[in-house]
Parts: sequence; C-alpha cells; structure tokens
Amino acid sequence: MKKIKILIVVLFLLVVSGCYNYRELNELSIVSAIGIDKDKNDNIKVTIQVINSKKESSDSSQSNTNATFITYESSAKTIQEALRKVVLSSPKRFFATQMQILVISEKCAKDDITKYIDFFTRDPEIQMKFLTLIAKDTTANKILTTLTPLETINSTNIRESLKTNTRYLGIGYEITFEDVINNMINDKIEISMPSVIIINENKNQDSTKNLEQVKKIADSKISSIAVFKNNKLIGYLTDQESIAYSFILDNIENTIITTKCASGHISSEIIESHTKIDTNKNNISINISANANINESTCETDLNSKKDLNKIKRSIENNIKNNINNTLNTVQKKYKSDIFGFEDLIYKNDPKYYKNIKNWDNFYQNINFNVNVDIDTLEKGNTLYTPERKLKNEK
Amino acid sequence: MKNKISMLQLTSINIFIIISSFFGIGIYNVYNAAKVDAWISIIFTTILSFLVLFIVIYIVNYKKDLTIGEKIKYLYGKKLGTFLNIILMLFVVSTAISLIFNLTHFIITQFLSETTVIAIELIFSLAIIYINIKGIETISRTSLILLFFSLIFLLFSMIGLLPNIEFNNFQPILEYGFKRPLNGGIRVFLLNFVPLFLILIVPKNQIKNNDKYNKYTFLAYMVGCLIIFLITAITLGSLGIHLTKIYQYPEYIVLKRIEIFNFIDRIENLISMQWIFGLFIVISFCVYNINNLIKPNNKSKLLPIIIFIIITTTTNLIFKNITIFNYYTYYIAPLIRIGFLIFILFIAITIKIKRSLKS
Repeated sequence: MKKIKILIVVLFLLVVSGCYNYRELNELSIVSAIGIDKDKNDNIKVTIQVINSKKESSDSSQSNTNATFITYESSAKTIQEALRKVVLSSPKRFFATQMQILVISEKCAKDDITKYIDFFTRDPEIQMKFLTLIAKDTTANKILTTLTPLETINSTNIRESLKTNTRYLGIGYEITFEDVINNMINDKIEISMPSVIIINENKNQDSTKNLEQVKKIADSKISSIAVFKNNKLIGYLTDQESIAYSFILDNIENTIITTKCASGHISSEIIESHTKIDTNKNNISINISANANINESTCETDLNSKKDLNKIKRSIENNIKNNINNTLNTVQKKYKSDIFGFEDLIYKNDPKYYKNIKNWDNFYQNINFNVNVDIDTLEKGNTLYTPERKLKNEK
Repeated sequence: MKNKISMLQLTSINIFIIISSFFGIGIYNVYNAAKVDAWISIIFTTILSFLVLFIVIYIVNYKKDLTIGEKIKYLYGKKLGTFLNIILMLFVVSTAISLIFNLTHFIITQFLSETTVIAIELIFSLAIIYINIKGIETISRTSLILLFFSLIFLLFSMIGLLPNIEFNNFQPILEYGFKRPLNGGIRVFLLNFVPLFLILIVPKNQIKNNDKYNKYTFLAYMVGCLIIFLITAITLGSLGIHLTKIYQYPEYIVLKRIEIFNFIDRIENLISMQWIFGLFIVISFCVYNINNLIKPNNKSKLLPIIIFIIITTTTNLIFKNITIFNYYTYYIAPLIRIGFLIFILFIAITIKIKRSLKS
C-alpha cells in the first residue's frame, strides 16, 4: 500500500511539474505605449507601440535594419475591440504590464476623456503607474511613431523627459493614470495633465533617416499642462503658468526663476520648495517657502551686500507671486476650471461651510487668493562677486 | 483526549477567522457603508466585538469535553439538537461559500485570468481535504506556520506603504455624524467577528494549557482588530476614498505602491499571499466544522471530500459573478450573520438557564 502511495505521489509530481496556461516571454509582444486617436469615421484609433525584442536582443555590432520598436494601428468602436483587431497583424500576444505611457489625442480629450479610460482600469494585467499625456497640436499616432535621437524607444524618451522636466524645470508633472482616475471620479477636482508635442515635424520622422540628421531632428518634447473642465480638454497653460501650477500643487523639485534688474538679469535655482494651502471660507492663502541659489547674474549688484541680496530675494518672491497670481486668474476666470482641487480642499477642511455652497462654479469665481512667497536662503555658488563687479572694484 | 492542540495554534486560527473575511468582503462593506470614516468603523467594531468574545468564552467553558454540536445535542436532546445542528451547519456553509468565491475570484482576476475556476478549486481542494483528513492538529499547525508568514508579509506591506499615506485622505471626519461609521462598524462586526463562533467546534479540553484560554482568545481578538484597523487606515490613507471604492480588492491594489529603498517594488503578488493563506485556513476550518457537526470525531476520509465538493458546487451555482457576490455580501450576508449571532445567543441563554436551574 505504501509503495502504491509513493508511486501515486511520484506520478502526480511528474504531471504537475509544469505551469498551466503559461506564456513564454518570446510569445509576447511587450507593449511600451498606447496612443488613442479618433479616425475619420469617428471610431477610436488605437496605436500600440511594441518593443522589437528581435532588435533589442541582437548584437549591437551586427548591422540590423530593424527599428527598435514597432507600432500597430487599428480602429474600432471600443479600445478593446481595436486591440483585438491588431492580433490580425501581430504574430504575438500583446502584454501591457510594462506599459510606460498613454497618449491621448487632443480630439479625443476635447470630446470626453472618460470614454477612453474605462478599458485601462478594468484590465488586471495593466499596472496603473504609467504616465498619461495629451498629444498637443498633433495626433497620438504621430507622437508614438516618431523616432527619437537620444532614446531608442520613444515612449522611454517621453517618460524620461517628463521625469527630468519635473525634476529640473517644473513645466511638466508626472501624472500617472491612477492620478487621472482619482481626479476623474472625484467630482471636486478637475483633470489636468502634461502634454507632448512634436518639434521639427518632417516627412522622415518615423524612419531612421530622421536620426541621421544633426539639426532639425523631429523629436517629441514635453509641453505645458492641459486643462480640463467636466472631463473635456478646454485649453493649455503657458510654460510659466505650468511652473506656477507645479508650485501651487507642491510639485516643484527644482526650477529656474529669472528676474530682471537695471543692467541685466539674475537666474536663480529654486530648491526645497514647500507649499501649504489654508482655507478660510472664500479666502484661500497659498504659502510657499523655498530656498534659492543664484546661478547666474549679469546685474551690477553686490552679492555680498545684505541690502542687494534682500532686493534679489524680494524680486524672486515677487516673480513667483505674480506668476502664481496670473495663473490663478487664468484658471479661475478664463478656464473656470478647478484643476487645483480647491473645492475638495474646502470640503475636507470645512465640510459644514461647504454644505452651504449652493453653486460651486459661482463660488469659485469669487474666491480670494492670497499668495505668500518666502525665499529663505540665497546661496551664491563658488564666486562672491560677479566678475564684472570684481573688475570695477579693483579699478 | 487525543490530538490536542496548543493555545497558540488556536489563537492563529482565531486571527485568521477574524481577518480572512475582511479581504474583499469586510473591506467592501466598510468602505461602502462608512466611506471616509471607515477607520472609525473599526473602532466601533472593536467595541462591539467584545460581545462575541464573552459569548465564546462563556460557551466554551460549559461541558469542556464537548464540541458545539455535541453541546447543542446535550442541551436540546437528539431530535431538536440535530435540527439546530443543521441550522448551525448552514451558517458555516454560508461562510465557507463566500470565502471560496472570494479566494477563487481574487486569483482569477488578479493572477490567472485565463484559468478556469474549477482548476483553482481543484488545486485548493487537494490541500484542504488533505489537512481535514489529518485532523485539527494538522489544521492548527498549518495555521500557525502560515500566520507567521502572513504577519511578516503584513509588516513588510505596512513599512512599504507608510510613506504613501496622506492625512487629507481621512478628511472630512464624521461629516454625517456617527451613523455611517456605526453602520460600517456593525457590518465588520457581523462579517468578521461573528464567525469567531466557529472556534467552538474545538472543545476546551482538546487544548493544552487551556487555563490561558481567555487570555489567548483576547490576544487573538486584539491582534485581529489591530490588523483590520491598519489595513483599513493604510488603504484609505494611500489610495483615498475615491480609488478605494472603485476597486474590488483595494487592499491588494494598494500593495502595488510599495517601493522600499527604490529597488524593492512590484512585490504585491508575494505579499498578497497573506490573504490566500488566511482564506485557505478558514475554508479548511469550515470544512472541519461541518465534518464534526455531521459526525463528531469522524475518521472517515470520504466525508471531507463530499463536504468540499458540495460547498464548491454550491459556490459555483450561487455566485455566477462578482455582482451577485457583492450583493450577497452587502445585503444578505449581514442578515445571515445576525441570525447566526441570535442562534449562538440562544444557546448561551439556554446554558445560563440550565446552570441556574442546576444551582
């Protein structure tokens, strides 16, 4: 009996040693990006960017004319249907877990972005950490088919550009798909997300010829923040407004502020910025504290003088303050969109007062903003004087 | 009494009973009922659950050699006792079917989307039937080992998720007063703590060092409450109420955010094993309960197989999809648990009357 048991166990182990319904890596097409457009018939046009594993795995010394990524296109009434149709032209099954970006065309975003989102929330294979962008003045298809010079996979190029932008400039902001969903289902915040454009558009942008040029190479570039109202794209902030947007939402890691003086300009790098927003009925105060480094000066100011340093400090503070006030004014009066989530903030901070607000849109127009900027320290880098002033002093 | 189990092993089963129903069932109820005040609900649950604790301790101390099924027969006679045992069995089946669906649905939707339910049920059936054939000692030993791993995974997930918590996700606090959190608290109490009566299938004399029964049961209750509170608060604090409400398994989705030292990430599948362990143990314990209610100290190997086949078939027949399951857990399951609570209260009152009559 014992021998029979052992035999059964051994046979069982032999049978169950493999995986059920397994998928080998070489049977999958790794999706790096998906683009959503509308075609002429008003159907959804899906562009799928797939990493060319054949190219990626080949020896770099061998000449290989294959592109590093391939795009597939398909149109249908729904994204799911369009994706399934692509199977007709792709020998491998799409695997979207490693997806890096989702690009939505302006046309779709203006229509109603919610129509193009549902699929991505339902599929358990898709991680919702991918970044979401709007294709500004172009189509998502063009964005995803443009070969970029510095990164072989163009979705990686866009993702890394956005990361760098967030870290060093603040015009863009890494908004994941999950953030978009959160803002979409929260009726007290409007959606906003970065946009991407194509610079130097040319006929060869989707072929390797584009990369053979030294200048005027077609490339994707992170652009300013797209503003939505009721889930529909209504416009874009300017670059300066996008920086102010990042300041308000406390997303500034590092940015450059250039201020004017009588004889030139001073460029300062803003670091360690923190934003605190307080609400008191229809008064909202935005308090920003940050440190700054003077990176470049063409002014005749004495950087060793406390008085002059204070002047610079005040001019940086005023610059940021004016920029934020202008941005708030644009968003509040021109777009009438609450992309900063002030409604949510008032609701959370003072729910009793919030209940008395009958019409948020009217209330929003009458909110008074009070912006306070405090630059704490000013560092000057390696030099104490500007070379010009040093020479003058010696004379 | 043979096959004695330790107090610590029993505690591990108690903890699993409390926390396993929270995954996908309790959490769905508490966020839907209490919304942003879900964490306050758990405080209410903690207070309410003292009731269950007292009843369990009270019943277990009556006729320490007997299981709950035998106690019922002793109290009400053979005919009425058998009838009441059938009702008790139905309560256990209702718990088991919701846990089986929760387990298989979680695995299918999150890991094995192309695998059939039957295949997953078959895999688990082998382990569940096997430990049931081996008896309570094996179940409790397995439970203790798996609890050890579960707590490590839980600790790991807590550490990984703490930086993600945003305190404004807990606001506004008590916007609609105590009504919503109380509703959520009662639901968690009914769904997570009322099944604690399942432990009554183990007679007190079958436990080593049973003089510490009260202390260890209280320990299990406290650990269970703490785990549920932490899961609720961390999930809400990380995802916010809007994202939490759209997911069937928000406590799994939130694990995707874990990133420790910038290189340990995408570990949600490993960490979510804690839920699978919990569901596996409690389903096994439910089968053990039914097995013992039908035939105390049963040595037959066939009965656990038949029981498991019946409850999995019932699960597949009742829960055709997640919508039906969510309707069941939100509207029907709490009512069934109220019935379960009244039933156990009825037994406790009978014991009280018998004791007072004797004295």
